Amino acid sequence: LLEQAQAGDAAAFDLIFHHFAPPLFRYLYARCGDVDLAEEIASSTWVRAVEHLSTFQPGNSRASTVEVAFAAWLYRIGRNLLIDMYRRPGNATLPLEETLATGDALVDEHILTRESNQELRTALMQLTPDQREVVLLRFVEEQSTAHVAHVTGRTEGAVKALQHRALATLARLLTMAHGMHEL
Amino acid sequence: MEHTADIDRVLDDCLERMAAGDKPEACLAAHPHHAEELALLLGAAHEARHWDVPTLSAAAYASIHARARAAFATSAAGRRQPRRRWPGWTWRHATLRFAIAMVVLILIAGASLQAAQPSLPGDQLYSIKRAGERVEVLLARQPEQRALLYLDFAQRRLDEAMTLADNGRPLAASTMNSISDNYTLAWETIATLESVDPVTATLLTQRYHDKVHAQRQQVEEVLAHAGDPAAATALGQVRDIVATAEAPPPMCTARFSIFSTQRGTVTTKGPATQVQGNRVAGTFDQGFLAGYTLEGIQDMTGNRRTMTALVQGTLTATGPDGTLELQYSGAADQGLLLNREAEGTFKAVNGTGRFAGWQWQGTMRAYLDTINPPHFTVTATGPCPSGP
Repeated sequence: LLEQAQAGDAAAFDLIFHHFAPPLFRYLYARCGDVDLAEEIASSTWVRAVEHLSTFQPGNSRASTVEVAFAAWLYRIGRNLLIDMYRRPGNATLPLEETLATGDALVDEHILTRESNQELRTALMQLTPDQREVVLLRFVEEQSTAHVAHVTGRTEGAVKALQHRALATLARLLTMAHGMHEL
Repeated sequence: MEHTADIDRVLDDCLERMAAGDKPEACLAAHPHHAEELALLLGAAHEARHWDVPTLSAAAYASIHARARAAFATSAAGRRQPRRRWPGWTWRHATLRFAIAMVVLILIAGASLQAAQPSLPGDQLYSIKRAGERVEVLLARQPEQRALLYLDFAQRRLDEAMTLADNGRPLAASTMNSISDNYTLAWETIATLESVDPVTATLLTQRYHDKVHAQRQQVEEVLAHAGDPAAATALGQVRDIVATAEAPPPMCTARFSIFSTQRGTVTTKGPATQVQGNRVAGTFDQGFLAGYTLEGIQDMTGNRRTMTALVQGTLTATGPDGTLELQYSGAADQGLLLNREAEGTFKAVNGTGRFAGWQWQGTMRAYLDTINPPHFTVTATGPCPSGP
């Protein structure tokens, strides 16, 4: 299918788009935590991907399948576009880990009145983009560690370490939030 | 530092085991030194699964798709072929000898396949050509890829039939059957997708109709210029096959959920696990068996190392109009398992009441909804049953 799209087959491209557009959006949202921004970057990612589609070669990747290699390539384009946007001079929008303070900021009065989903969302937004990315892929998308390593271009050891740090931070933040509720 | 690396590994091990159906308590008991920390981390992982990540809205999907297609249309015209690079050389003698042997084998196989491409039914190399196609199907990971392949194979069979007729050679029944078989497989594969991915199914349906329509026109054109009466007769038969495929039969789909009710006998040998006599149950929620319940028994063989699984069994659907017994078998390889999918075929073998004597067979596609406990949604699709 990919080869057909590379040869200019629009229907093949449509099928690829349909398959990858929703997970790409979720991935970008997990990294930036902003629906509008994730949509904007997703749009630019696809344009960039289309422009460079002919240069994509799954053989250059260590991924186990063409699908995983393509997802890794697409996600990398999206991640780089997000980074470029944050670095742009005069851009007031900053990554979440920079706009939000450390875990202490979680002890914020509005959290007390939110439902548990909101608590979880708020806690997740305290994680770094890399940590949120792993949480999304491991626990929402339910991918294996090996798969996450391939898609994100990390080693399995790095994914396990990142997963550990993410869950430890999440556990601490959620415990604090639940604790505030109990008061 | 060592402790951190250790807990990274233990945590991941626990998460994988829980994903496979183990209880968290078992993991905590297995790692008493880390139990307190693990309990907190596994609790956080449990919470994280409830993250309600926003979905891409239909409006945003359409807008992004339109922009991507516009870029695609611009770039497609002047698209270059993918650049080929020389692989980097590493001078390891044993590896090099092995690599050279593999390259020679691949070149021989590739050359044979290349040489077999123009072959026609009855030629010596034709079996190589068809074997290459079977490999293409095995390598096609997604059903949409396979549907497109089957359409492509139908085109190849048509081209072969037209060349044979042009050369005054007879068309065997197997050649005719192969054309219609590929259309059926393409249509069944598309129908299987309808309940799980309607957008892709719609796109493929359109493509199927466009392609088959174009193929019929192609055969009509060749037929109009056929001078030899025998060739005209053969091409007329081919035209009828394509015309039939142009209006494909209505497909009957039955979607059901299925889960184990009683674990069978488990045998583990190295990375391979065999489960025999697993009792299963479930309900049909879509299609002509909606509202029916099912019970059955199945065997499964899985291999952790190769990431492959085979399953076969029999299930009986029971409802107000009677019972329908289906035999099925399926398989999943690494690519499918990563997507939590498996696929196979089924055949009605027995029926009572309304289903007495029904002949219904086709393809099945299974999706693993939840890992713990394992719960599958399966879509069975085939041409609508015919009976006595």
